[in-house]
Amino acid sequence: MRRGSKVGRTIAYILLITYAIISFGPFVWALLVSITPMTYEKDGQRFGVDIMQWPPKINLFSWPPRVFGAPATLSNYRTVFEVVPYARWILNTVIYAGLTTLGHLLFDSMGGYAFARLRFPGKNLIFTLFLATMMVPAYVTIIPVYNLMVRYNLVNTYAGLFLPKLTGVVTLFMMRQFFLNLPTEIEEAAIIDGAGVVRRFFQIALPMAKPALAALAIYTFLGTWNDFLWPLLMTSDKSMFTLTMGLNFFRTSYYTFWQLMMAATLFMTLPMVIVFLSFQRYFIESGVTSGLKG
Amino acid sequence: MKKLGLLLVVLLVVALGFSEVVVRLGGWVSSPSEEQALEEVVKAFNEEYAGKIKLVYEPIPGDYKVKLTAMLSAGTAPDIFYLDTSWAEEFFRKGVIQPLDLLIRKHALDLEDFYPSLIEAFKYDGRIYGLPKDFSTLALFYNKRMFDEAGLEYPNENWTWVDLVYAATKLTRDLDGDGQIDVWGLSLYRDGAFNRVIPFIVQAGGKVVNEDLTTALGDPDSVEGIRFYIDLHRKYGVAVTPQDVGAGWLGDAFGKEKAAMVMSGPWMLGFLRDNFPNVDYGVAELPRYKKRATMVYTVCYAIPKTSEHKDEAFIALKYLVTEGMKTFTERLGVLPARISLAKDLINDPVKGAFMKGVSYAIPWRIPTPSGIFSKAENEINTRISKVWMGEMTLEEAIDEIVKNYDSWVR
Amino acid sequence: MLKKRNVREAIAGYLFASPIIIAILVFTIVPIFQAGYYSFTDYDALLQQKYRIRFNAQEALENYFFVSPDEAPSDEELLSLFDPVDFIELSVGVDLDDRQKELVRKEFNSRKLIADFLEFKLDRIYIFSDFMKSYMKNGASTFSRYVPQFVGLSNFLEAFKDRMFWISLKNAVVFSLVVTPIQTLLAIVLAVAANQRIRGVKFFKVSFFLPSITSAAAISMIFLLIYSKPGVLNRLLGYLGIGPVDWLGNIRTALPSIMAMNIWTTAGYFMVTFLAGLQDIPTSIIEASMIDGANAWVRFWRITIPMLRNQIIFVVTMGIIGTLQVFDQIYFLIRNQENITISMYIYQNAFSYGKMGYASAIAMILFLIIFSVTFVQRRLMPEERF
Repeated sequence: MRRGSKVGRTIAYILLITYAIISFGPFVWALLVSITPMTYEKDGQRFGVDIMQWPPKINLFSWPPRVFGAPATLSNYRTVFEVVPYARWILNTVIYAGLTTLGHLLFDSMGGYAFARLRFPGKNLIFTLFLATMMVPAYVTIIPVYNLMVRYNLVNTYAGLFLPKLTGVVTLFMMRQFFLNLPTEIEEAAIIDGAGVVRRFFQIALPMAKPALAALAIYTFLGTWNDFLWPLLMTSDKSMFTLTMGLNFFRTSYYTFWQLMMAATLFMTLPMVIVFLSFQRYFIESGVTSGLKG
Repeated sequence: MKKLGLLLVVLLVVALGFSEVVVRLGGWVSSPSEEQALEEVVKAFNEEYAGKIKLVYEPIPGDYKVKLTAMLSAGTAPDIFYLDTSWAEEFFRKGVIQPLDLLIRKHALDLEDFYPSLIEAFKYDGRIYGLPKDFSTLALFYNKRMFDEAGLEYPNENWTWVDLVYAATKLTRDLDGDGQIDVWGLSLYRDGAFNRVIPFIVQAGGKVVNEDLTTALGDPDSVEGIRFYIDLHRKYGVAVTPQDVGAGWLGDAFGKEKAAMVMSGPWMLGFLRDNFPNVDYGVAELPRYKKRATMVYTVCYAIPKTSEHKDEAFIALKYLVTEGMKTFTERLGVLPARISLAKDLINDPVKGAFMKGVSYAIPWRIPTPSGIFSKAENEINTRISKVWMGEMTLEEAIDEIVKNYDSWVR
Repeated sequence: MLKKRNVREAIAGYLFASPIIIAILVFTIVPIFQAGYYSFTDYDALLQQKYRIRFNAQEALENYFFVSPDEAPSDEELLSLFDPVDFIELSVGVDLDDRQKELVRKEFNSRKLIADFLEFKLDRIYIFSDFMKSYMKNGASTFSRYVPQFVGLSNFLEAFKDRMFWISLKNAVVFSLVVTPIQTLLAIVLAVAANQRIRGVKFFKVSFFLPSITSAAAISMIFLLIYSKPGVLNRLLGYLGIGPVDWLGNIRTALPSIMAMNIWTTAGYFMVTFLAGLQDIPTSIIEASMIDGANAWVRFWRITIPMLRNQIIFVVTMGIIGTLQVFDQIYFLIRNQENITISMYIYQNAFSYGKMGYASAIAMILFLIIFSVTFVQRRLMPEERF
């Protein structure tokens, strides 16, 4: 049972390795810039570092290693916390992404269970209506929702940020689909035992839904962590910014602080990479393809 | 029991007496030093008005106009905020800004001391909607060392376009003989350049709009001005954009000594001092042609109609344009909008060029029937960029501008 | 007995579904109808506070009469000088439409206002809507909340005449039509390559996936650096003799640069989808074709592509819908108005110019386009996906 000839495999390796380099390259470049000091001292004189110079003069064999002709440093990652309220932005982003994820976990699974398992009048009609809203681009609803937040004075508050994001139709479908595919035998046994809906949901269905819930949590957390448009509209005060909003801070009309910007950029990417590496099974197997395999 | 009631009344009166009115001040953040100076003025104000008014500074980072629009529509705008001449009228027209005429009279602010053109810049429909914070004009920065090396005389107030091209040609040089030009006579903007082109249009005897607010960019004089700006790059080959020499903006290109001359405002002074202290430069008025012209950029303080404390806000505003302006002039080196503060600056070797400009400068505010110029500006800018890059001819661009101008400003 | 259980199940169903039903209703369904309504009005964000302006009624009247209450002539004389419409428009500063003017002329209690003025009762800050409540005999509710004017189809007609609308729409469509096929094809090629019993498939999957979990904001910043004129991309291309290009500054290259970035971001993500699809293709089919002597090229087009049909339709539709709405990258990297996409134009109109009625109309047009794309997809792929 052969799949692919030797030539085919070689071509495949070349392709994959090339693309892996293309895929990684920009991150590596950002990393190099982020560990380059803004200025450095040599023989009692201060020198500025030109991160646009070519070649980047990397020397890994000195200590500390040298990039762009200057000694590498992690100090930019510290400076980021000093020049902008970066810790506060991390907190804001964690609150935004965390509360949103909790909302999705609870409401989507409850809704998904109801639409998959329980019979109630109007269920199909409501479901079809929900299905239809998926085609509506966010730009249609964003203006009225924004005005709603304005009317209730929720602009520049956490509530304004996360309230409209607490549930979602796409993730509801994900959960419904999961419950539909779940064998009903155990629950039927529970019904005969006289278990109510609440008990069946919390004690039987939900524990079995752990993989789906994990995928849902990751999907939602990632999406909110990276969200930009809604925080852009909802936050006006520096202390309410999320991480994506804050990135523009390192770019003024006169000057771009590349080293700090790249440090901040990689810093906000790192947690997602860690989440991804720890849960890649959910990303690659259930997260992406769940829509397809139904 | 009665005594207790009395005590309560007394306490209430005392409490009321000590309750300060909070006035919020919002503005964009242009530099840390400006933020610092403003904090200082706010502190001084709060000491003077302790117990009565408390001024709180709330910088608005990010896309200022969007944020301000959002706050005005939500009714959460600060009690005092900045407006820029180039788009302030959009807000005046919508009826969201408080006319200040009555407050000026009530709180006896002397308008005579302000440059009339700067007050005029914030008038709409006969009323004053804002008071100028400071101003900037464009002047010609030149690198003394490069002029010396090229054996050229420094620019002076009698310079014309001819002198500019002559000097720029001599200053555009290939230093190491590799066939690549290393230093340019001039650096000019290619994108978003229209406001930098306007002085050339007026110097050539042209204008941007006619009395009836139709475009005058098709007039031969106006076209001559635009043509000269672009010719500096395309025909004479003495000007490039800052990006072409790896610089972020004009100040950067000038500081890195990639360009011998740039036309820029006083905001460059602090930048050069902090980042390129070794560059020896001078500042002259912009060269003239048929006329003398420069741009004046100014920003005002305004009060929203929804403010709960307009009187207190105006007291703070008055302080900002009197004591505050004094501090900003001393600390930040900005150009004061009041004549009494500007007296000594007119003879300053560096700032004199900017101060002289204010007498013949055109405010960066193009009147249109709808009050909105930003759309037309985008359209015109795009075409200037294209002509600069040789993607269309100037004639084609002017033709399109004249044909479509009405629909952009409606 | 059975009936009772059904009722209880229905109640439980509603209870379980109620949070999401309420949320979708409040934050999606009602807003869709509101946006539809907005698109037929001249809704202007800046006018929302029109009736919330604050003023000191005493000062406004002193200014109107040029006299203070203690020097004022008789109330009858003041009354004869007083026109409530003029007072509201000039001294208070609220513009009224014709209908409102008529209402004010008819229902405004000028006598009461003048009496209060002469008794010094007005020296405090009023909110305009409250002021009208006190001094309108009837119809004060007209002044309690801003209601935009109904303008029929004029927003849509304006859009069709608006050059910027067409440019931004064209940019979005071009973006979509260029990015979607390339990213799909690239993803398939990578997936086929990774399906050749390769060592370290997991490593490749992870590294290809990395860009798609990074926020568009962060990626934009990294590419801002890479694309800058003295930046690394130009240095590398310099070896090939390609002159330095101002990738993001030049009108011609700005959008293609962002397209390339977008392909880079998503190709790896979709590759994983296709790889899953490929692994479902029975090896017997491939073996059979190899016995038939079909070469790799023919196998790719004759077997692989048709077997991936559903995945391709899914990826292409998701790609088109996603790219038509691209915003973050445009916000961070596009400086020239000529290069913006439709979502950016909606944002600018709604939040920078405050023209929410017009912005909603454009959003509705975008909705129609996306609806058609989805409709076509449903026709191509009729089986229920969910």
